[in-house]
Amino acid sequence: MKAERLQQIDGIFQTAIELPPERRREFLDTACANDPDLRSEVESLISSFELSGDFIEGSAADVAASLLASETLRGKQVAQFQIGNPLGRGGMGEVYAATDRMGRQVALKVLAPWLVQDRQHVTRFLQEARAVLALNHPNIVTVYDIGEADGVYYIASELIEGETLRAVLSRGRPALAQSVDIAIQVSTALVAAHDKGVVHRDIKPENVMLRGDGYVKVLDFGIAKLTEQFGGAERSGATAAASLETVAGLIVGTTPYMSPEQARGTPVDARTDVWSCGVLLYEMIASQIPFTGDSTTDVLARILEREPAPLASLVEGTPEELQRIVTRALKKDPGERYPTMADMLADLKALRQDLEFGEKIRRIQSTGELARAPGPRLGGRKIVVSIAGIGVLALAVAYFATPWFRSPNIQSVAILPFVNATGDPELEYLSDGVTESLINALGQLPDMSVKARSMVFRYKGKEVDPQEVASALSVDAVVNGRVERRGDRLMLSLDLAKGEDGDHLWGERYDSTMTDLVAVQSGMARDIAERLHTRLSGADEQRIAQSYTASGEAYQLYLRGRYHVQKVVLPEVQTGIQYLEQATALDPNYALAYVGLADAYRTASAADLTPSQVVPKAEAAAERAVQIDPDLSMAHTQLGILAIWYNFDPHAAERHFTRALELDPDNAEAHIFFAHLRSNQGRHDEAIREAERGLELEPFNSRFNALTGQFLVHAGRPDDAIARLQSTIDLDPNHVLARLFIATAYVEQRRYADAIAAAQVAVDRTRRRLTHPLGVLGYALAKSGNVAQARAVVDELVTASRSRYVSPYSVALVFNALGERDETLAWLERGFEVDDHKMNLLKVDPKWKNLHGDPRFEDLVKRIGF
Amino acid sequence: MTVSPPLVTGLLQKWRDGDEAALGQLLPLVQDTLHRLAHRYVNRERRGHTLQTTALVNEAFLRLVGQQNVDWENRAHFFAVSAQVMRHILVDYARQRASGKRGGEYRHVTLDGDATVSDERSAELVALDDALEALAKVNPRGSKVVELRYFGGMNNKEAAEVLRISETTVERDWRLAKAWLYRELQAG
Repeated sequence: MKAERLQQIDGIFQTAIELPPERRREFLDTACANDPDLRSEVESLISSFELSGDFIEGSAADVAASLLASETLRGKQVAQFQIGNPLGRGGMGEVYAATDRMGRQVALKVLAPWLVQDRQHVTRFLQEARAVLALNHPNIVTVYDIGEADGVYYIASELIEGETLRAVLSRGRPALAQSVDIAIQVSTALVAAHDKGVVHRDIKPENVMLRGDGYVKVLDFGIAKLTEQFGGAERSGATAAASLETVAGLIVGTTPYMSPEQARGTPVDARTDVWSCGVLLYEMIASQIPFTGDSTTDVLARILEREPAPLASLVEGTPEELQRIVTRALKKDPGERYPTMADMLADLKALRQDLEFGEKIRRIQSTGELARAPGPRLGGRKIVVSIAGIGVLALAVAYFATPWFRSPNIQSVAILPFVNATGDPELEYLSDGVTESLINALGQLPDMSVKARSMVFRYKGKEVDPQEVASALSVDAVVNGRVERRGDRLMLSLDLAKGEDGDHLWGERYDSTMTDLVAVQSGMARDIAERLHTRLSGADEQRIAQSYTASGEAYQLYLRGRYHVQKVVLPEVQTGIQYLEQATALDPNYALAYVGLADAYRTASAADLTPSQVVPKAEAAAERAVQIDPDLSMAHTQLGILAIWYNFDPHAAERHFTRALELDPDNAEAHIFFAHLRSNQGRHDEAIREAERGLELEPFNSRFNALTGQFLVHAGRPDDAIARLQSTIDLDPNHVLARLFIATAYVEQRRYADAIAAAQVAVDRTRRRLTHPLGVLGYALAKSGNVAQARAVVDELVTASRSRYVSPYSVALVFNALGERDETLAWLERGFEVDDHKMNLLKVDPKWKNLHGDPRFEDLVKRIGF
Repeated sequence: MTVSPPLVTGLLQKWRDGDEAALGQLLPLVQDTLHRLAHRYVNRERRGHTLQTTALVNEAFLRLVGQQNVDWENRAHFFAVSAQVMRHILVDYARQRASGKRGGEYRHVTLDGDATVSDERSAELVALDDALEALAKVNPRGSKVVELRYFGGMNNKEAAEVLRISETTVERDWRLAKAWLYRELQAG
């Protein structure tokens, strides 16, 4: 368009819209005379203008902001979390209420996308955040998980019902005592975090939550680090303050709480938290922040240069001691501040005591007790003090004299993994082993439910709040333990806490040498049982002792053996077997070591040792255990499993499981393998019910979860199986069994690509060394029509079978999928001959459906006998 | 990013003197700062609050040019650049969202129908950007006024300073451009 034309249109348009509408036509008649195009153009623009209303009258940024606001994840699934309602939005991203797979409510913070643009940076952050995961303290919001799923970076933490200190402050100034109490709890949290080497870096009222019950919880530990490193490398010299301002303002958005060293962009340490805690305290007392300004630059300048107004000038009657604490926390030079958070905490606690004391005196004075107080008037103040002191003392005596067992009866307990504080990773087997032994020993007590190993070992390496563990595991009490080493002696300490309120009920230290560990451990079990208020009969006590050994050395060998077997891979299992064999050699009456040995041999056979080499040993060990202690539920369970796997004897299996469950109805493994038996028998509904019982006892046992998935596959319920197995995989992505079972379920659904992918993971995880994963992979490949690759796999297996044990069942799988029936049946016959343990599945494994009705196959199924 | 105020001031000066290459150098610098600031602002705001683009641009200006170099002409030019950059940022953002939807990869499953509304708004923003492009061909100054006001968050006075025209002219340009764009979008 020519400029003239535009000018022409513009002129007419502008004049026209200034006119009242009824006069426009007349005007246009004149203005656009002889130019219908011009007229129609102007008319159309006028009518558009009339209609346009608010169009583009706002700001594009508003539109973007509202788009962003609506960009909610509600209702979606992120990793193991089902996302619920948004709880709020902070500088770092959105926070949602979410539910994890266990049904636990969590707060899920989804990091804003620009925070995580630099992948390298994020990876570093995730690594460092591991330290935060280890933080466990009643005043720290527990972080459950930090991770990434589909590009969404999240931090899952404890969901706190309460409000932020910011919200509290916005309603007005808290009472002095409450402010001090909040500062104390925040400081306590920081002391605990600093002990673990975690600096918070972003203490501010938004990061402090107040729960209804008075608990203060600090959140977002170390998260600020994510923002600090933003372009940090380029920060230098004159631009330091400005660029940090960008950085901090950008994400943290908390300039007023920054320490001078943060403002300068110089390295920070724990003392930056001392500063921020001082700002927090100042703000609570004064209802204003100490360093203010019209712009961030102003605020930064004041942080670096100005002293804040004295508290007393803002709030009359501020205690001098409080001023002193704040002044010391807010020293510009970190070297002049409290050297550690613990020092500041000590001063705050002393201050609280002073305040409480003053309060008492005031109360007594106001109720006139002073007037009635006997004795001379001189030194009256001292008398009051001592009266108050006596009161406190009496109260204390009354409290401690109350027998702790007046507390509600304890019927369930969780023994948390003992902390290996020896500094020697070699002794890990010992801390783990003592824990496991206590679980087993106490598990044998009547009327006492003890949480299984898999339930409590999730907490290994974490310092946890007993109250939270108790509520998560629904137990009445929690036992914490610790192993330390003094020279060649071991110090074991135990703490028993009430689940309901986390109250410490009892604690004891045991001094032990390596060799008298057994006696000490029995002593511990007895002490705990007593403190749990369980009446032990003589028979019970004997039972606790019976499965154990009197030999300290044997006990240690047992612990070492179990430790290695639980790693499941063949070389480890073999090492474990050696230790366990040594243990039983030392103490031939050590029932538990025989159970461990039976389990170890069986595990070895599943890892491709020829059944005839290990099965008889497994059976002998299990039988020996029963012989020593006929009431040992675990021993009967082992016999039951062997009856299924190798003897294909459903009747014997049933007998063993029934007995195992009579002896200990809470034996989850017995439930799961009883379910296995029912599944093999084609009694699928019973199998699933029984498995559910086992899972109720040990919901986090990934092996049990996977097996339940297998039972569902066998029951012809691949959908349910996939859901179950997927949850197992989420729980433990390296779970080989779960991958194998889900592969079968996918084949049932003709989802061949998924099946191949799952089997491939299992093959990779076992480094192509284990034959069953290869068999399943070949099977899935053949089913998908990928004949050449399936053939390659079966060739690999057949070749391997010449030099080592290869499960014939696994080879048959591939041949069957390739449609080679004779080969299939020949390999299956061979499997039966050598007692390949997977043969027990023949009747119900859907991979053989095509053979149903073939007399040779039916005959084999009959011989196996389920 | 190390950006020295003299560098930015120098570039602004060159651009003012008619060196278009200076603008090319200036854009990424401003873009970077504004991008960060914009995210910060947008994320801090809750729905229904106003994002103050001018405050944002002001802050970017202080950062990149510094307080000591407050020269209204530089400032005006800086604002002009910023408006252009804001336009890119915001439209890109909307474009990403719009294309994300089509991919089906990132479906919105909100319960209150937010998805539809926000999808529409994304699409509108993208369409507006295209229309503005078209307008620039027939009415460059009108297009500029819209960019400054709508994307740069400026008022008429500020836009007038940048374009070195009267406030009345800005208002007139605005009306015509608004009518033209509205018609374009209704037709499209």
